[in-house]
Amino acid sequence: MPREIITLQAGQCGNQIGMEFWKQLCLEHGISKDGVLEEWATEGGDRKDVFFYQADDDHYIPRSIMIDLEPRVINNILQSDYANLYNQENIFISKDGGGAGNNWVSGHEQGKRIHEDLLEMMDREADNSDSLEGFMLLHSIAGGTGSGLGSWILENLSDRYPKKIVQTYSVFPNNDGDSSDVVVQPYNSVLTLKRLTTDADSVVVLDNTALNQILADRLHIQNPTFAQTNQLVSTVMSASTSTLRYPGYMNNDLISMLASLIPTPRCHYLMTAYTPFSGDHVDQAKSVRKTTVLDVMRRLLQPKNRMVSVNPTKKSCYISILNIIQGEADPTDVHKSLLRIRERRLAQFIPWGPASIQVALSRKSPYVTTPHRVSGLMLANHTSIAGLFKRTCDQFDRLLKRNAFVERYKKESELSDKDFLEEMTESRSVVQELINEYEASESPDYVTWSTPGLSEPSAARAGER
Amino acid sequence: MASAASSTPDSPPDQIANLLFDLVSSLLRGSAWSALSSAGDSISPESDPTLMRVYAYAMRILGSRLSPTVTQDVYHVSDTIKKKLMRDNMDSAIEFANLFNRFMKKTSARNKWSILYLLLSVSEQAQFSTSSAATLPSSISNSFSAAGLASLRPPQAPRPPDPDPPPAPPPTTRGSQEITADPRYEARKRLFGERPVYSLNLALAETALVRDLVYVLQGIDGRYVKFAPGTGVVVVDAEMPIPAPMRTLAQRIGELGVLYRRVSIYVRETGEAAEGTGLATGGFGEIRQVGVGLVRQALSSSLQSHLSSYYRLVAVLEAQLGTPTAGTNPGSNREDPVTLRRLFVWTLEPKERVKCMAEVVDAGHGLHGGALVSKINEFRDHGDPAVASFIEDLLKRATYPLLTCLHNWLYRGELIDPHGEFFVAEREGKDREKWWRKRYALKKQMLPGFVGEDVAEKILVTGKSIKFISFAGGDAEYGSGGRSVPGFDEWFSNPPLLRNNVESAYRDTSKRLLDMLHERFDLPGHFKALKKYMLLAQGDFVQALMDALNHILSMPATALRPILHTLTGILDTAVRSSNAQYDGPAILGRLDVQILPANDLEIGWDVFYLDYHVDTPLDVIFHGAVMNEYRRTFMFLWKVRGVEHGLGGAWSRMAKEQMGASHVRLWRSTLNQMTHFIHELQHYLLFEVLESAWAELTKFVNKKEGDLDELIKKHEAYLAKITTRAFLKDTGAAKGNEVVDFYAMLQELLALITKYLGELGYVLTNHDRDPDSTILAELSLESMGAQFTSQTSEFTRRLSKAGEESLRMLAIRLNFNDFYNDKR
Repeated sequence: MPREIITLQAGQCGNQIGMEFWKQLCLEHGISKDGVLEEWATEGGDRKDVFFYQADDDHYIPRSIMIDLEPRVINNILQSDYANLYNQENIFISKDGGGAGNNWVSGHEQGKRIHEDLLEMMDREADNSDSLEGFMLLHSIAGGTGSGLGSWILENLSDRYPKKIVQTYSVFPNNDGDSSDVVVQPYNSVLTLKRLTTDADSVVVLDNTALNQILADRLHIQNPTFAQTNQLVSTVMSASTSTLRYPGYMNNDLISMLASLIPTPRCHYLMTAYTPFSGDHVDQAKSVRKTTVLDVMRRLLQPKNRMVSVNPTKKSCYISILNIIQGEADPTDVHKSLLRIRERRLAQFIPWGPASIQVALSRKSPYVTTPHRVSGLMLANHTSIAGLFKRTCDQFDRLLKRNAFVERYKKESELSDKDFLEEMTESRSVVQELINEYEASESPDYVTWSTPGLSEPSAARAGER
Repeated sequence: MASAASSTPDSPPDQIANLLFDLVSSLLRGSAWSALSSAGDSISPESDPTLMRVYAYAMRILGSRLSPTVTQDVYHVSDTIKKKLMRDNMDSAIEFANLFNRFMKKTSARNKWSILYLLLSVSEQAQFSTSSAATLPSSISNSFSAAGLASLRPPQAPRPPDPDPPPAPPPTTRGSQEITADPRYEARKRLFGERPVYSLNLALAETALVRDLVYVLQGIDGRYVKFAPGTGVVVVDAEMPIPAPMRTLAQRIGELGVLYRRVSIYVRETGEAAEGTGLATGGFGEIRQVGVGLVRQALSSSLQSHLSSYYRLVAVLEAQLGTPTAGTNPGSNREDPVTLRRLFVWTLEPKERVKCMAEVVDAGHGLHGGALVSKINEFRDHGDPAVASFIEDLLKRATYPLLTCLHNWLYRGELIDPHGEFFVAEREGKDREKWWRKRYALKKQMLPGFVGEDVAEKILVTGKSIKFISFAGGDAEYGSGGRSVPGFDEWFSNPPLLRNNVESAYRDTSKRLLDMLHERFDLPGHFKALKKYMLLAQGDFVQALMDALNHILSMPATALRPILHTLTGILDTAVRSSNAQYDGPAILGRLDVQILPANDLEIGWDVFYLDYHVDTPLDVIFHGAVMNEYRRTFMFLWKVRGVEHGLGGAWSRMAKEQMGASHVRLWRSTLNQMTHFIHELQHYLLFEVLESAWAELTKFVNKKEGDLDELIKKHEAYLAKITTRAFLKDTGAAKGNEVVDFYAMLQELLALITKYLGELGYVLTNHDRDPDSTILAELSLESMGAQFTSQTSEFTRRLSKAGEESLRMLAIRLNFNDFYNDKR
């Protein structure tokens, strides 16, 4: 009963991160590019079967489903060294290959059309596991496929596997001023955010703005490539799943990690911080610093290491923190570090319930050498993330006010104009509720807080079941 | 002469003295030499110093107890005289021969031998005006030395005339009072000044005394001097007409006899007891009872050899008392008579030695083996280097059997100690598991003084380890002498060497033992396995087991026993579906599910535990008590994990739950508190309890330092640290003012969570179907939530005041954001 996790990679961004993620996992588990366990990979003590399964010939195959509406990225993967790693049956490329054209509705509608193919793949993978813990969706919320098709997947997952955990690694678009890649990304984002809020159990927010900032400021890369950004992402993903892959006393499954991170189900957006980045992740990085548990934990709390670009207010606070420390950490250092952080009041917590920095010491892969003794990943539930949604909503509102690009969406949709607009408004209000709840959770009487007239978001859907 | 004296025992002493005086003075007057001083005739003869000297000498001769053993052979004496004369003048010799023949024909002379002997003596005396009194004691003392008689001066060697004979003992006033008040005597007394003048009686008494004392020195009662039974002194016959000082002196000398007797009895008893041992070889146990022990035998033999020197002294003394050396050698000198005073002086040094021996014997009375050695060792620190070295010599021999024993033990692990003399004792017992801890023990009273307790501990462990290596590890080679080992000859005289040898034997053996445990018996693997399975470190395995057992364990405990095989099956499945499968059968074969005897009130959680079977030789470390601690810890950790599992389930369910907003939020808030609590508790258990203790243990284990004892202790300390910090042991309940039973509080909290989860499950299941049916349960959820907050707050508050830092750390973890402040 290895608590398997099935990874779903949707769209260009999702598949690119996915590729990096599997590369990283192969490295850490000593699995070759062809899926063969390296001869030297004998001392792992690792659990490969969470993310891989073994074919009849003992090849390790990722529990991964790759979906895209245009062939470019997946074809790149299939032409790479890792082509033989994947199960070819789990790759879906839309036949017309036209993509979703950065249109959420297009992606969502195409999802309905390829419905049977997708469900067949998911069911097959699910049946292939003994005790499936859940799904991990890798996607971007700004484009067409990752957001639209991804939203469709989320809706269907929670419908088809209501008891399984659904976690997403969602890349948020670059919001740096108005220089965003896609003009309509606020529409795509809000529509996706609604599904992320109602149909996912946990969303790990990967903010391109912050990732680029980190690459530029911390690693001195001014014009980062996708590959470089994605390396950061894969590092975060590998670290955040390390306790699942290296069994220890605690945090061996998603539930135990999420139960303490997410006390109220709607506030399930997690921000991450990672330190230290090094040449292994991005070649140009030069700086190697002193790393102790305290150093790492202290740096994880610094805004500049966060992978979400938000400006916390004075009221902003942590709902929960889980630090995953990898490497040669001395357990007794954890104690000291916690004391120091508390003394210095380096972290502000919610007032309405107990909260603290939980620390998981996780093993590091013996096959991957890093120049650092200790590295750390923070998974944090922080109220300031609402700022990110607010920014998106503001842009959404500005666009919608002018009715900009709405026709493009209506055209693709099977819904009536009225229904489509209602969908837009509802999505917007779901995100607003989310923002409100995050703000409410900064106050001491959050437990008794309720928004009049607002029922729990997906009550209607739950009732249907 | 003596016989002449004794032939007239009834003559009044004064008569003889007067006669002698007359004789001497007439002899001197008749000589030409005395004519020179004849002018002084008018003055009293007492004023003539020469006369008085000669007279005194004559008195001494008469007063002495010479020659009872000299052969009273007339012809022998005549031969002696003849030879003496022949050397000086052949004619006189011929003349003497004629005269002698005529003399022999005279029937009127009765004491012919005496007369001749007198003449001979006088003539010899003329040649050697003095004799050296001092040479005798020195020769005696030489003979008494370790070198024995060899160093005794050959009697033929000419002795240098001692120009300064030692002064006679000063008289005592009481002694003088007994002398009769004859005016001439008084005058002589005045003339002689301090020189004592013995009456004949006195002289005879002294002779008898001395003779008796020599008997006493051999441990035999004399005629006048006898051992006073039980008092440790000799008593001089009260009838003996001797002055008190002499009596005292005699008693002092007699002490030596007493001392000797004590030593000799000890030696004799040892010998007899040892023979008794030889006879009693029928039963092994009997030997222990009867046996005097090898140490005592060795000591006796050492004492015996010292006594033989003493015997030589007595023999020499006896010879002195016997025939004076009126030997054939004309140049030889007749020794001076043995006086009481001389006897005293001569026996002074031997007395010291015999006294030492006697003290040793007395002190060692009833002791044997190491205790005996230890007792003797106490005498070693004696200020007198002579005594110290004498004791050392005694000790060295007495220690020999002990050191043999020690050597056997230290290098072969053999305990050959039939008399129970060694300081390591074996105890009977069949319990293999307790073998290491209980089988051998230090007998502190048997520690010889020169082996410190710390060294003894190492000796104990070393021998034990060799034995253990051979019987538990099947490596008999190590103790069977395949390696070169140092001898023990120097150990006694060189304690640092002993210490060093013990140290290195201890190190080598302990290393060998630890290597064996590490390599052949995979000790680190077992430590790790116990941590993984009994202390739940193998998370994926624990999770798999928990998933499968969770529901079963909620059943009544009594229902579990019939399905024990199901539980075993679940264990196997959990192993196969987790990384536990990669542990070899040597580890997995030891895993087992167990159920405690159950009563009707208990549920599965109360009785289920995982077990890990350990056999020899590792059960030395993982003995019963230790495994119990593991089991207790498992049950606690398992329970906490079960509660976490339940909370995780509730969280999942609540994550999708869409019921009316307000109380759901409240329930979630309570669940969050509980989840936070259980997670922080587990983080505490992981870091502050399990991992920190483990880090200490592995650090020690990997160094492979110390010995098995230390390893066992470290491992016990590891578990003690875990159980203490995990509230499973009373921690200083007596120390603080506030006695807090954290364990009970914790159990209450866990029970509350379990109850809450049950109630919540009920509400979630039934609410939608029949909202009214869950109203009461909902109310109780609310109150339980409040109760949990206040109890946790109280728990946290008390923890923060706990003496132990780790407990305060748990308080900090639980109340990291000060949520529980004033929530009581």
